[in-house]
Amino acid sequence: MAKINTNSNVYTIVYASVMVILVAFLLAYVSSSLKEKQEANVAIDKKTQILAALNVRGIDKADVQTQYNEHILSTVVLDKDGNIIDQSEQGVDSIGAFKVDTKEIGEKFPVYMAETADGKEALVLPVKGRGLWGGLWGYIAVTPDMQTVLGAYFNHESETAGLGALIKEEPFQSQFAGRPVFGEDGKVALTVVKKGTSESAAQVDGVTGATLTSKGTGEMVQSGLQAYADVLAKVQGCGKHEGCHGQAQQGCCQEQAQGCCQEQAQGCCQEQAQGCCQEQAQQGCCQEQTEQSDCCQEQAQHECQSGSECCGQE
Amino acid sequence: MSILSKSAHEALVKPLNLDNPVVVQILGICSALAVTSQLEPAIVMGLSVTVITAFSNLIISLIRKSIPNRIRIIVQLVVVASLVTIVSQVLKAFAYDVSVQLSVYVGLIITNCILMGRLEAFAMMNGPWESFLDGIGNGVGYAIILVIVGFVRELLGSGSLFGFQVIPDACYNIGYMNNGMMTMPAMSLIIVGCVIWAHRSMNKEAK
Repeated sequence: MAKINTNSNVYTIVYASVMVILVAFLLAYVSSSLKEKQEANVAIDKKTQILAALNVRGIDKADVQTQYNEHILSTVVLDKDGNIIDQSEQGVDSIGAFKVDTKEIGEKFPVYMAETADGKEALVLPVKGRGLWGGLWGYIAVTPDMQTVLGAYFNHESETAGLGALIKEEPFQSQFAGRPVFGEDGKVALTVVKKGTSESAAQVDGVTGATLTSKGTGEMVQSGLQAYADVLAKVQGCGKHEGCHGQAQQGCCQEQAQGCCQEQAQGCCQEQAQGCCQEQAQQGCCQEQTEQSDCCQEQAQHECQSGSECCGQE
Repeated sequence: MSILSKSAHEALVKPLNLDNPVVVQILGICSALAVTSQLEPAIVMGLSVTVITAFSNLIISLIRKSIPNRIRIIVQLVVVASLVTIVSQVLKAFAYDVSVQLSVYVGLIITNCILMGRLEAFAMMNGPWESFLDGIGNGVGYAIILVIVGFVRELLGSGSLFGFQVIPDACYNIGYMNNGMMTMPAMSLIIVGCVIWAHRSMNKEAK
């Protein structure tokens, strides 16, 4: 048999083509056959992170699903105007907030109605931001009126090991519990500052030697929570969406009862707290509010204190 | 060593010391910078590089006679890249925590100079078995240096090993401080330099 000339053009081209096709099939096969397992792993990982924000830490992988079902009561996805675009009941994660990818945060606002490790009612709000080398994300558990932090979890794509990567560790994250979210001006004040320069309870110590990661985390927390505060204020102000049904007792209406609606108390919101939102939608009061969306937006800005007057006037 | 022939034995053992890929061949320095600020990622990276060097050496050695000379680098790259992709996919499915730990570094293995260096210098000219052992030897030789650098950096930089604090609080109380420089990537170059120095002067005496 004549020896094949491995240097000929034809041989080279054929060799390259065959190699590429073989490798492509091999990779496609590996990828598709492992996909299901990988997605399950990713889901478990995400649940572990959400639970960490609720101070449920150090649980075994096998228990994550049970714990998650126990602690997450229901979820809802809001758009930037406060409309509900998706929701899910307890024990369901094929729809609702869990399905919202980290990339989509900022356009969609997933909210988890949950219970912390010690049984306190909480909202878990996912946030995303930018660190020194790559993306950051986190889950922040706050009280239903969004005034106080109950717990936080942060993670990163590729921050420096031993420095920026420390935001992933419990000692950094546990600093957040108990901190106030808002400052005196009614804006979200919770942020991260250089260690030792903290001027108020809302300023959390950063990681020494990781200035940019700390800064990124602070910005993520502040701007992320501010966005949620704006969206939730719109929900609280008017209850204009018909989607309240599922959520009724847990999310929207309880917040409504607490937040700005305390002042509005005698108005529609009392009913909201009880009934709640379905009736409202049909009844006069809240529909008017909806139409007077200016009023409600102002409410959001003025942080509800003046909200009652505003609605009353119009 | 009765199991291994002389040349196979040499392929396995030489890279551990006399022909170490990092301190003698000066290959793979870039990743030695990135992953050595703590011990754990250093070990995981060392292991993954060992596995991938060994198997890519094996595959290239098996097909070395059929590879067209003009596209040999491309063929080598394709083999390495597919191996890395498969390893990373398998890790994601069966050892998710490890894959998260390695994150970007798995991808960086593709560009690790040790791989291309060994493929081009050894696997293209030697049989599969020797090449496989050469891959393991070079991977382990690389891992040893990573572990040394990681050990020094984590101990002096954060006062811990594998994330556990080893320097007692009493030392901190009397004024000991972690050396923040150690956690910077530049320090690993200086440590690698020290290791090379020590290695050279030791081997001079051996001669």
